[in-house]
Amino acid sequence: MSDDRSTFNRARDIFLAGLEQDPGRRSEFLDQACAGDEELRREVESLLAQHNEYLVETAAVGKAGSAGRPSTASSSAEKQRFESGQVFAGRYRIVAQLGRGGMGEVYRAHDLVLDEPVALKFLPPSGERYFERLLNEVRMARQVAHPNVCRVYDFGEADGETYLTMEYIDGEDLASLLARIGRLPQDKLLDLAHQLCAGLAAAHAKGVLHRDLKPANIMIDGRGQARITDFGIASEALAETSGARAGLIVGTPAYMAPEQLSGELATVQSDLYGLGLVLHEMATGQPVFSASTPAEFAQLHRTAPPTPPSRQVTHLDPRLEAAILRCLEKDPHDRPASAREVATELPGADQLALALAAGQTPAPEVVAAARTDDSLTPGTAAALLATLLALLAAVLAFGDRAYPARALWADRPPAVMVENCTEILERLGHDGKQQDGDRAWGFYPGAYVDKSGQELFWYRQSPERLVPTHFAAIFYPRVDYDDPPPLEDGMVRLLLDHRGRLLELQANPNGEEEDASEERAVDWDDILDAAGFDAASLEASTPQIPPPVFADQRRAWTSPEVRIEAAAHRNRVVFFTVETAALDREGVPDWDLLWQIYFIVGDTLFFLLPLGAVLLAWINLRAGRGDLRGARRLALFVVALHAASWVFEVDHFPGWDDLIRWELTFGLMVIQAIVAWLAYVALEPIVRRWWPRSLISWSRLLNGRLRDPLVGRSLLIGAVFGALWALLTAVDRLATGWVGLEPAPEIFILLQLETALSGRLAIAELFGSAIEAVYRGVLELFFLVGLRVLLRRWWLAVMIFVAVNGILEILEGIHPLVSWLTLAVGITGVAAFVLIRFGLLTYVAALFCYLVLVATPASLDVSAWFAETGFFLVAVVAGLGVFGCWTALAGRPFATALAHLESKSTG
Amino acid sequence: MTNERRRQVTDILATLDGGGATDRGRAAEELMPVVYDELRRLAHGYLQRERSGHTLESTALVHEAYLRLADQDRVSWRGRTHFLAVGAHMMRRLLVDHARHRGRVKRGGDWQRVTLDHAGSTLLGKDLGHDELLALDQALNQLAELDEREARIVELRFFSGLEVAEVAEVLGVSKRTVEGHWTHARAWLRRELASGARSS
Repeated sequence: MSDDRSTFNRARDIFLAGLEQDPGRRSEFLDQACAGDEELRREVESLLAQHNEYLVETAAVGKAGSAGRPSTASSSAEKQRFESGQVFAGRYRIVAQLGRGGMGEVYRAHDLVLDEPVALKFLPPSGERYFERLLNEVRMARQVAHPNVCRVYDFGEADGETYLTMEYIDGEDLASLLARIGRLPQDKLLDLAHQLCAGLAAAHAKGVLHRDLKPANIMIDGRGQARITDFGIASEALAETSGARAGLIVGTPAYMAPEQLSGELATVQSDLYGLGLVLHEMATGQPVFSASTPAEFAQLHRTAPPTPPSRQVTHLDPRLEAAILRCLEKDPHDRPASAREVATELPGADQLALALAAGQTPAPEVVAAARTDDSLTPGTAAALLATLLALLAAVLAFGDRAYPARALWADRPPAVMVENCTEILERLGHDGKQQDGDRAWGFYPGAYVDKSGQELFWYRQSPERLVPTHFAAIFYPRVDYDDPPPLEDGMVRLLLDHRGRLLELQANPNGEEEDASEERAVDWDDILDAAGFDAASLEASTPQIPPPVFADQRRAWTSPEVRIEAAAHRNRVVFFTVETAALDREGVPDWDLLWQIYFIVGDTLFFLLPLGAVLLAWINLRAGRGDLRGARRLALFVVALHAASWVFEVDHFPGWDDLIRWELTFGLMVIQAIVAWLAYVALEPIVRRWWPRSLISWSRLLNGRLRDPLVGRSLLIGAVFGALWALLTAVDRLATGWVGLEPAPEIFILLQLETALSGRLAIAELFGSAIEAVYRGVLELFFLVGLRVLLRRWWLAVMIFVAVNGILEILEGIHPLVSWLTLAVGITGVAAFVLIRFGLLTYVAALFCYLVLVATPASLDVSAWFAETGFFLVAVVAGLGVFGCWTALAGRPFATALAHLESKSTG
Repeated sequence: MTNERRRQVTDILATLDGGGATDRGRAAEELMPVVYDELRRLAHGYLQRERSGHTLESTALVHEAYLRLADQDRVSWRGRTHFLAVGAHMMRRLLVDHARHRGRVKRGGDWQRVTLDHAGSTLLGKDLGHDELLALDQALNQLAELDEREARIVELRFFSGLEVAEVAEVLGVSKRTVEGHWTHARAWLRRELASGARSS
């Protein structure tokens, strides 16, 4: 017995203390207070649940004034408190009583100060805390300025009354309209539904919840404009009349969401539930649930499935019905994410067009859900895919012709070149077959050596592990010809051209072998032979270049074309270099000044842009304009690509150093994510404001709708244009020859052999291209729209866009005259067209395919060692096209498309 | 007769107001049968007049009994409160007696439903029928075993419609304590009655 009593008393104490907690923190509080006593906890929870039920029921009594209520409730018996003509608070002249509800009386009044009509609402007598809460709600509600939300003007206390002034709406509330005319015709319903969604969305954007949405709180004026009234206020006022504590359930049981009835905090989804009930009632003319007591309402809202409206009325648009039923899901998570989403699911006018017509910035959901009529027919899709495959074949075929130097490497795979190096080293008396230690090799851009202008092969070996030390290696560790610097004992490095001829050699002395010096003298002819020179054709000269390692003998030779220097130590060649005469740069314009301007402008922008982006992002966030979900996904996507690219591309060195590199690299990626996020939040709203159509498929992909037909269409068309650009790049090189101009040497063109060195580098190339495509695509779109906003004319913006991009392209081109045609017009012009006609996603896909293809050592020569990589990367682009084609046809089997084609050609 | 009873009751109430503890106890005991009798007569007459509905308003009856039995000029507000406190207990007993005997006493003027004051009517979502009243009585007895004071608070609120301040006065505790007990008892009773309804 005493045990029962102590449990009883403890449960009571915890129950009463629990009531003081916010509903959100209650569970946590119970955990703490009950300290694992399950029985006690069950007891307290059942008491809290009962208390909640009680509040639900009494809330209804307060609102509906149920018949069974004895007349002790004094307020309901009172008659009109103010007579017409009376002036309240020295400011409002009462015109007429408009109504009296659970919240209090409403009068039409005239504001004598501002000389305009207002609705004057008297709220139940206030306690201090209640006044503060109400004040807070009013403060929030006042921030909402939307044509579909009733404006709140003022709030205060005077003559012992708590009052509220609002926009006076000359119209009727939806409850009495429905009572008068029954259900609404569908087009009227949809019109109002869109208005309600817009009003709710505007309020939700400011963080204001209604919590008591119902027909009585929706006013419709003479022009059919709907306004939602009493945002957030109705519930506070009700809370006071029913004596409920702050944060507990309040509202009208007939229109309350299940979670509100369970005493949980109301959310956006609770308002959407109310919206669903209102829409359902508009469609059928009947409330969704009818019951006589609040408890029954609570039961129905929690468990009873709503009757589909189509059972009650005929000719209801299935999309409308689906939207209503989704709003009425019992679990808030199953309801739409926002009022805007509801609007996009409703049939009716194109929301995007509506928003644009109204001069508003359409919401990201509206953009993603915009109607598009550019779906691909199976015939077009098949034709596009065929075009893509033809273009890719051409890219492979032109690859060999456009880059003749590449063919020179075809039968010299890296293994052969390494063998070459070993042989040369052995010949010169070095340990070429070094068993311990480390070796590395790769390709070197010939332009940097400035000797042959062609790509070269480098080889390094060292008794110790080769670990790059350049500062950039912290983020991007790759062993190359210059990194780590050849300073350690025993390090050897060589540079060979495609014929395996020696161009450069450096061999640091190995400390241990100091005394094992060669007896025989240095055979200088031997090394000249390795470099492909005949000693007889050369003239001895005085050495001029100081060798980078200690040497006791030096030699030099010259011919009209070259200058050769060499040095030896203890009869072993330790240094050798072939210097060709200055490269004939005639015909290659000197763009140095342009490049300098380019870099100066670029660097300045690099520092100014982030500042501007932060500012813009801040403004957009304050205004609630940024697409936070899109920005978050883009940031994550960029980080994922960077991480993947990095993992595949760099050399990894086990140990603490590598761990630090990982940490630093991920830090860098986080920064990149932040920058991408900032840039997107800052600039995307501008694009969405001026040119939302460019973002439709892009937003769908960002929303994870990879299988959306429009996404597929964008990928397919993008792949076609990407392949076209890659082909134009090759044509650019060939065209110089066709028009009879001397083709400039392949100085700036890398043969992309590096990509073919290993599979992981080819995969890294894919990720790298994807990152660059996303960055370039998004930035160029921002650039174009920014120009449009600044210049206020599309055609001018497009012209400048093409001009600027064209100049940048020509800088990379091979001959200014021809490149002007192929690159500026072919690539940049088409780029602008793609961006404008097909939108961002198509453009990014095109850039990706282009970047992948130009990084490919494309070749039809299957015997070439790099052909495999070429085929692989071309196949990836083809695969993207096939995927796009398949998705664009919404997964219909391709046979259907072909059958369609056939029927077209026969019919 | 009526006048004599009025004087008697008024005297008792004066004792309740001012006398010592022993006197108060005896005075309350003397008061009970008088109050019970009056309530029964009132209820019968009330239901005879108001044939429609057959719904009894307990609070109204107790208050009416007070008006009829006490000389308002001589009784202080405290005395009134004490009367209502006794009345609450008698009212409960009256209602329970009637509910128990309803099978045997089949005559006109019996009540079918009762309205209790102060959310008593929403305890089960509606006015109470015989069975529900008996269930309530039983639940109140259980509550009294666990916490007699809390049960008493419910009785005073339900059957006599005493305000929180009045209950605090009768029981000599703070208003806050009464409010806490009241909130808790409401939830507790709802649960007991709900589980009772399910199990039966």
